[in-house]
Amino acid sequence: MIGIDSDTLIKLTRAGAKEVVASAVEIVVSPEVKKETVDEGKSGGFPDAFEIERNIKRGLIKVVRARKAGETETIVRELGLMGGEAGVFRLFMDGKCKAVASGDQKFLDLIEALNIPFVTSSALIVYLWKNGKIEKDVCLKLMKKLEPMISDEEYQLALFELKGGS
Amino acid sequence: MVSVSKTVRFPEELIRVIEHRARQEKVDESTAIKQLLGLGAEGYAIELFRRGEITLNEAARLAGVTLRQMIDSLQRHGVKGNVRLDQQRRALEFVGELG
Repeated sequence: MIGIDSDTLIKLTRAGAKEVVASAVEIVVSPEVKKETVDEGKSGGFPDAFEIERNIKRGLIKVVRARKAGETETIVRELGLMGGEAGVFRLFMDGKCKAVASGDQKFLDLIEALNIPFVTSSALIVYLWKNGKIEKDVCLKLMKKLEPMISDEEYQLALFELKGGS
Repeated sequence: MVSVSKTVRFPEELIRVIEHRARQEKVDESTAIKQLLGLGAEGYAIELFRRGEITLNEAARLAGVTLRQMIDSLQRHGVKGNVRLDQQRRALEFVGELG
């Protein structure tokens, strides 16, 4: 079960990869991520917000509320976590997910320092291929769509992993 | 939105920019200053995010936009993402362990 942040959810949606990922991996989001991706997205006229909402209504993506435990809230406050980042962090701390998906360098540094396992959007696509959920050519097409939205370092290493596995 | 009054002395070169903006946009100088500060705040947020010094949420807050607007703004300014090589390596190692 992967807790996903707003940036990753939006990018996977725009790349047309969200449903493939969500059908192979259980995806959970916090209410804060739902607010940032669906509610703010709809009011801002972003078409992918409606798509994410449909996925939530169909149960492909689950919105899960974490308990606000004292220790977790202290870390959230001290690290200055906000919005969806704080939300996905709470999900992990409450045992609602086993890893966090994000493409945010500073957030990844913070959660790594807390020994929280993480994935990126492109690593999730590599995972699908490694586990036989999608063919390599489909994987490469999805990666190509993701390329304009992720760092060159992220893209090139994911591509290397895919090509190295042939 | 709450407005707070601040007194600032501008150097001549910035006065020229403010006057230019006011003429260009057909607004008063006070509005021109606010517009220019807004543009500067967005650029500042983009640069800090690019360097990995702030999170996406912090960038959106600094720029005074929603998270989605910030994602689009970053892309428009050529910041596709900011994941480092070492972070991606660990992410791929983790999915490898997932089996």
